[in-house]
Amino acid sequence: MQPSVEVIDGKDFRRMIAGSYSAFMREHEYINSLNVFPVPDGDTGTNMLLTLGSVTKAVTEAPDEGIGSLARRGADSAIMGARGNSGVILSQLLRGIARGLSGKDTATSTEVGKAFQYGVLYAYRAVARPVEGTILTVAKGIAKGTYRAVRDNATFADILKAAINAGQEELIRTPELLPALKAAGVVDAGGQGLIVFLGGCLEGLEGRFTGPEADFGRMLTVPGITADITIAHPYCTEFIVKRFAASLVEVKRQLEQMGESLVLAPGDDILKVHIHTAQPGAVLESAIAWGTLHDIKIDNMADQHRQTIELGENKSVMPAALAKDRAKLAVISVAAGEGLIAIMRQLGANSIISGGQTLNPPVEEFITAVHNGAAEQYIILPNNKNIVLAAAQAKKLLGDQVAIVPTINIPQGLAAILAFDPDSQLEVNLSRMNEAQAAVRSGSLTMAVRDSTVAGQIVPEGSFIGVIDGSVVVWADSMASALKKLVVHLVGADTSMVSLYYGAELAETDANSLAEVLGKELNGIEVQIYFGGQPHYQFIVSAE
Amino acid sequence: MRTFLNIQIVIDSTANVPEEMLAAHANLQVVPLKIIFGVDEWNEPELTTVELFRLTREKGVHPQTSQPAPGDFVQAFAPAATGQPVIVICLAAGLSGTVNGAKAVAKDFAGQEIYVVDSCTSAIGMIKMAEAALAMAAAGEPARVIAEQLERMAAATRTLFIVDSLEYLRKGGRIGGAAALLGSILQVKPILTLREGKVQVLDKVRIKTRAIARMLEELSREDSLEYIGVVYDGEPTVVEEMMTTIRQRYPAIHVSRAALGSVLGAHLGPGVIGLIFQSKV
Repeated sequence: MQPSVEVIDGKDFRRMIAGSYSAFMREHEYINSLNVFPVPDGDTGTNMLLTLGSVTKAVTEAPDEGIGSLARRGADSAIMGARGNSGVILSQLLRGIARGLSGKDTATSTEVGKAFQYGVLYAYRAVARPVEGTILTVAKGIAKGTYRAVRDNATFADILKAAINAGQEELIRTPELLPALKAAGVVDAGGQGLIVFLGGCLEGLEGRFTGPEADFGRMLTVPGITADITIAHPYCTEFIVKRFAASLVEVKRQLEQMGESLVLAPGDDILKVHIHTAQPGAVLESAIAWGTLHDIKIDNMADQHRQTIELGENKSVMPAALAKDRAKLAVISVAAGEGLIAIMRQLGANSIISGGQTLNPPVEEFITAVHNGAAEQYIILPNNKNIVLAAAQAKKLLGDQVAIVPTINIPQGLAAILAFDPDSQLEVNLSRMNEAQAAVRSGSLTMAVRDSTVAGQIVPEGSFIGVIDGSVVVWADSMASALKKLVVHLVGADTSMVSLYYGAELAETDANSLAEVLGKELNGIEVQIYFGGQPHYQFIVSAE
Repeated sequence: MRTFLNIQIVIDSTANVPEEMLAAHANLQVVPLKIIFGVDEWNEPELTTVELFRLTREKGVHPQTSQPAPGDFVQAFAPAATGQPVIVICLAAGLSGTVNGAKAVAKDFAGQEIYVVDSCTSAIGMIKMAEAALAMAAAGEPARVIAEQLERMAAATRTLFIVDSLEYLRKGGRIGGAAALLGSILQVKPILTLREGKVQVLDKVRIKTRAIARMLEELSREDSLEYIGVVYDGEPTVVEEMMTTIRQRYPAIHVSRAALGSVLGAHLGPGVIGLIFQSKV
């Protein structure tokens, strides 16, 4: 018999998180392999591992404290460290758990069970359009299993087991619900990730995980600022207002005049404030009127260029704000590949976050880019389906400072940057950029990483496949003919230009000669070729 | 046959008025702007854009331009002293100080009828204004009425253009703000326009053919067109295709084309394709 853990405290929670991290260290490659399409993308396992890495680091380094505040630390760091859509969903799960454990020093198994139910609810809400056969189906199964076990007054270990069993039943059903999974012969990767998470929690709770030592080196890398800088708002000021009884709009209005990089995180009659200011005294003076002040921290950011500050209860590294002429509006764009990064810079993107199909940047990198303070407001271009949620998460944390044009591929991102005009208002830009990105048709060419079936036909591993909107639409043995098929697929009656961005693995001369052949075949359409330098994809193609 | 009319029309050389038009109207005269390379100076009509860009390459210096000498305006305004009204049509104030120069000289002719009109455009846009002014003068309209009509035409005229590179506009300081930072990556062609007399970016489009299509799209938004003019430097085939498209789309509207003058060439650089059109006033 396992020891029953009727009263669960902070130490138990810490072990559960460490256990789940350890489980992901073991399982993430397997989760990565649960790929719907035979394309090298969507590293769900890696994304969840890295997200949990942030959580584990925060929870491990925290002082001994109650389960409620520990869970809160974990959730906050998950929100900042979330990578990819699966990471964001995981961070919401942890937020829900933290909500359920809020204010508790210890919790009964029933209370923790309920907190996990909260977590599932939060995860569900994180997705704009819930689709069955995904992580959400599994989450619902977990919620049901948890509910039944809680009702039966089971120990928390048994609650977790019930949750895992119920979740697994749903996980096995995902291929029946989503034809794409069935065709690929896999279960949903995110759902599998949830099961691994719970399994890890159970191992941790029971103290029987034997994972490798955690390596946090991959987490929380933030570009440092090395240039000599003067800081207009040197005091990073943070505090919590409890019994908060003022208007958030009014608070925001007041604080906005007192500094920059303002982050307000409201909770139930509680408000966390983060601001860079020249007058921390004046900020606190104003805040006294809103409630009682707690956990006041004031750091002079001039002391070091890279300063560790506490954002809420969460540790994160943030560079000092640059005091220079700030633009009203700037673009943050995501890209992988030196060619694409250079193109985006030259088109006028203010900062480029490195990331793409197989490397999803954490929410924190968006926050860092915004905190660099080059502009008052930012428009984020995720340029990838799997980065859209992380960008949305950043927006939630930063509020009106950030807007998103939800581009899901590079050509859309380029079209959006092209439509950007820093001298125009935000609203005008958003509407123009949205319109511009919607007018681009694009696809990409890569090599099938395993055998697969598309429209009833077998596409062998090593074939060149053309992907449009996440689906394989064409394939061929040779790159040239797959590229031609893909381009023909994209070209419409009103197409006047085809752009090819060739990847890192391709030689310039080969790429140019492919483009030349294509140019001759496409009468009246101008074919343009540029070095993109992106990994895995031989070509990114757009037709306009 | 030359007719003598007492209203004098003065136009600056950036309009690039054709010889035949000048020959047909004794009361139309051109005041030249100047092209300057170091210490060498040319009156605009003495230099074609081909020669201008050849000199730019050979000398390795960026050409400067200058508004007409005040003396040229004094001479052109002389008929005013004998009671003849003078109407002056100048290129957009944002591109050149010519309008202000003309106005300054006109002040010395206090009590005499001199109307200085900012065309808010140049090239064909100015020629069309001169044609209208000449016709109205011939019909016996008073100078004040003509000048007012020209102001209305100026307000109803749109000037769009693309350039091979923004280098000339940047070096001449005629494009500012974010637009000056635009690179040519991905063959981005900014669609430039004169707004409030200044060069501004209307839109950014990739590759020349799509940029031309974008200008024509802007043209199609105009309801009642008075005329359409195409101004260009080099590249006759592209311009020929553009003319054909316009004539097919607007069979009932007068369409004309003209080569770019050297002052605008010095401002905008080689490869300019411009579209100037006016809605009816």
